[in-house]
Amino acid sequence: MKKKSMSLIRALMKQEIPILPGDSFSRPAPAHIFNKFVFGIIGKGALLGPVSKLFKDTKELDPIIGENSDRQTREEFLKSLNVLINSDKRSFGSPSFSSFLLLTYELAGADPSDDDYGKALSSIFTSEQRSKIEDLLRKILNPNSSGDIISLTIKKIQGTYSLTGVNDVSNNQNSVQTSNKSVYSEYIFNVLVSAMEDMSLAANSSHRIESIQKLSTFLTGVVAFGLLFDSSNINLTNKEDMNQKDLVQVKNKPSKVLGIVCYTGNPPGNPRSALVRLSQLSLKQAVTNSHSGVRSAFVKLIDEANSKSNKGNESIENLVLSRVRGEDARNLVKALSESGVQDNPAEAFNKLYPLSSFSSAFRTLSGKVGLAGPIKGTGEARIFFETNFLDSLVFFLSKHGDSFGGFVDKCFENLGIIVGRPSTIDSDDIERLQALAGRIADVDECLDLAHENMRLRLVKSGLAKEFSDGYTIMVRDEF
Amino acid sequence: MNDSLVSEALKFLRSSKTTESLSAELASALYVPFILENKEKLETVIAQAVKNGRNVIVAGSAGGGKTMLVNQIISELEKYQVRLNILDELDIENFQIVENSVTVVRDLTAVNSETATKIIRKKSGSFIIAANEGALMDNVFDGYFDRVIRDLHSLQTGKLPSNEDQPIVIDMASVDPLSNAIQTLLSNKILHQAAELFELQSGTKNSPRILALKQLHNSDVSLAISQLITSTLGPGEVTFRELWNFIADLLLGGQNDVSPPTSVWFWRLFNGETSISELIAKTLKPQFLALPNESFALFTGDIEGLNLSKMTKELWLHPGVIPMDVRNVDIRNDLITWLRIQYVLIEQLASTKSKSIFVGSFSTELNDKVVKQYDKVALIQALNGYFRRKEAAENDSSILELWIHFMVERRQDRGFGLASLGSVSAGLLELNSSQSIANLKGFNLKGSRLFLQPVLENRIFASGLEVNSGLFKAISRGRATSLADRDNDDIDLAIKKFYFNISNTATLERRDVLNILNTPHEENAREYSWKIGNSISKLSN
Repeated sequence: MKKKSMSLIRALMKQEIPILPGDSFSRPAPAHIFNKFVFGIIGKGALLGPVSKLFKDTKELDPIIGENSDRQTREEFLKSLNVLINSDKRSFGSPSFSSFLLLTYELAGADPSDDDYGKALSSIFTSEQRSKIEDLLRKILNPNSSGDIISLTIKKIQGTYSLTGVNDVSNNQNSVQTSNKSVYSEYIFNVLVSAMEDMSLAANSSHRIESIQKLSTFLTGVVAFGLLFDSSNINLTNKEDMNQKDLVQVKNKPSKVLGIVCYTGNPPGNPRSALVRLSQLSLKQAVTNSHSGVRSAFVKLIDEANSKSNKGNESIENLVLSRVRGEDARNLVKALSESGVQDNPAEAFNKLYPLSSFSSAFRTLSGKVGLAGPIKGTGEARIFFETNFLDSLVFFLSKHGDSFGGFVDKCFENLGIIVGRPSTIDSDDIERLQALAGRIADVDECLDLAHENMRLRLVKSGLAKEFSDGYTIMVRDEF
Repeated sequence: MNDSLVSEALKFLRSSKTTESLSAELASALYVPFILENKEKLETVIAQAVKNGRNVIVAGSAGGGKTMLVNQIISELEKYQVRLNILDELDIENFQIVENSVTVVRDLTAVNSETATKIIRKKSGSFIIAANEGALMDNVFDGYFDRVIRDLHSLQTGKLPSNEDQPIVIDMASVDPLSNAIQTLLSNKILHQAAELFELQSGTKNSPRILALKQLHNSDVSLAISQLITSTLGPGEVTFRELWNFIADLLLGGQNDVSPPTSVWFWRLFNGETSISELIAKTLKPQFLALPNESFALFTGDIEGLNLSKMTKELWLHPGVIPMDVRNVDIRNDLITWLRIQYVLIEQLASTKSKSIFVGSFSTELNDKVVKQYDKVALIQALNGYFRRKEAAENDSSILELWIHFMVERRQDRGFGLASLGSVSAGLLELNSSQSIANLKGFNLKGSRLFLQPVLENRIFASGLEVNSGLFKAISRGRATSLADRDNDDIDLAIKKFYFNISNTATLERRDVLNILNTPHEENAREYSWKIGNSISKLSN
């Protein structure tokens, strides 16, 4: 029972903080998240069942490659199909546990392997926002719009089956309800939609494939930051020494809520360098703040429940039953009671939802898309950017011809990550970081180094163009 | 030789190497003219055009040779006795516009916008302005230079703007200083004398540094070394300032009194403290030089046993000690490498013109084929080989296969399955170099950047794959199997973007065939082809 405590706490806290890790935090991968996000927005795809069956029984290939095909041909076709839609190896022949690369939204399904990350992400948007995202997803994930050979193949397979009445979210019992509690969604929605609109315009070309890969990568990054954002925001607004005026200045702003210094050189970076040390400390602080935020929200919830009724465990039971159902509710009540939540809710929280697991959840997920590391070993985690993630980040956070400085600012303002010296960084931010760094690093020097590292990497990767005298503009795919 | 000139050259080599401060005599002695495709000198042609009333913008990066070129144009104009009005950056307040003169601005960023605007709008007389690209984009010029920026971008993609009503635009960032000047500079007498003066000032004569420099007096040696350097570095990667730092380090860097002497040019070529040396060492990896037949003789100091050519015998430099007599392992290893490098450079490359045997030779050979001979088929075969994880062979297909991977998640292995977006025949691709001069009909100077592009009337920048030493290095190594091996991630991304772009702009072969490649190991590589028609059917390979 103890093993499931994180998922139980998450279920209890869902209304306050929609994106949180559960016990299976090491399992979700980009394919799972993207799949479940699309499932949450559009619903279950009609092609998922038939395609999953293909991997179980090659006889099912008859409608696609003909009844007369020999065994070798069938196996070769399956291998080929695997390359296209299952290169990440996240589908195992059952529609219930299949997360394919969504070359068509008809492949989306309710695979629980996302441990609710993808589902939670889709739940943070308002109905209007979801409708806009759905519209764009339907364009990008539609193989009918492009004539490239990959889309043509998927279209042909899709055409083999008569698909009717598909992807109707309202008919789907697993469909996701909007929670609309996340401040994070306000920033992320604009970032997502702006880039997805450009992707939808290119959906009639092979760039559609590229877009799908980028979208899958970036959405995983969005979930990773989402794990930290809302809870950090709660932690920030709980600070006792902050007056109302200051609170208005910082509340809900990613740059203030997170403000994480990233290591912008080539990953993984030398652990002894000042910038790596600062980025390690900065991420650690953000994770600790987030965990603290979840704890504050938890304690507040328990306190409120107790204040409504002085019946001890009964008030906790009422709280749990109002939010969690079935066996999970029973297990949660038991877990809370055993952890001594009535005596010390904060300590109980730390037992049931340990900081170390919360931290590992961020690191594991980010590592799967090249956003943080090192994935293995004992080295402290920091945010860095493998080339594949950098490519996605540039696509989502810039337009072709934007200044490099503008890109740095957007990363700071929209995602709360410091990838250089943002023009809007203020003395409070610098003071906070210097207090964090202590004697280990000079923050000003680190920011300048991060700025130049990032610029050079973008230029080297062809994601930015450097003019003479160091003036640098972003080079983003123009479809 | 003029002693003061040699002294000034030494001072220049020891300084930050800005040509602004050079005397006209030394500048002229060190200047290597750019030769246009019609064999005329660039500065002569530009001076003639200015004399005929044309305006000139010389753009480029810091240390890119703008000032050096402008000074040469000024010298030419002085020969024609053209009236010049040269702006002194240190006395801008007293600058006056002089009508019917050629106004020269060596650095636009040093000029306030008011003065600059007056110069570009003056009614009579032309101007020569040297500027960084960023300065030209400054809003204060009210878009005057927008056209220049467009011309610069066109040049960078290989187009040749030719509107003679517009200023002549010279893109120095596009000019390759290396292939143009390296051989001349390696054997430049004034520079060698500057190195001798450097030694004399510390009371040394006939040091290993000076004795080794005599090797570069030999034209076979200087040619072989310059070819090796240009083949290694690839196009478009070196500025004049980097080149001068490299030359200065070759001539003055290192120490004579250590074992082996680190002051000799052939040691510094790989071990110098410059970005160029670093790149050369990284590509060629001299520490892995394998000379099975010569190593023993080099180790025992049996130079006779090496059967050296006459030329090498004359030029051979003894390190002062024999490796087998040295006990310290590090010094002994350095000595062996020192001797091997000298042997390969002087005997194999320069004297007997043998094939380079450096580890990175495949990369340099491919560089030679593609950059010097414009052999696009060799590049296409090498790109295909990169994805197929096999060395390219001459009889391989000349069709470019647009392989892409479908992995999103970062796992330990890079994934072995690839699908092709299609394939493009070599006839529909071309290697295009950037250009350096706009709006001067009949006079072309190829730029240093090279792109593999689809043959299109209206080429767009994004559609080209930049061909540089990084690409050659990645291709020669093959696609990494592990994600922890990140060295070529940038190149992998560039190729992927190129393939996506080209699949939408070029005419693809067999648009109805899906090709899948599985390359767990070279010997187990499998390829499957499927015809996507009314039904899906297997095609035999």
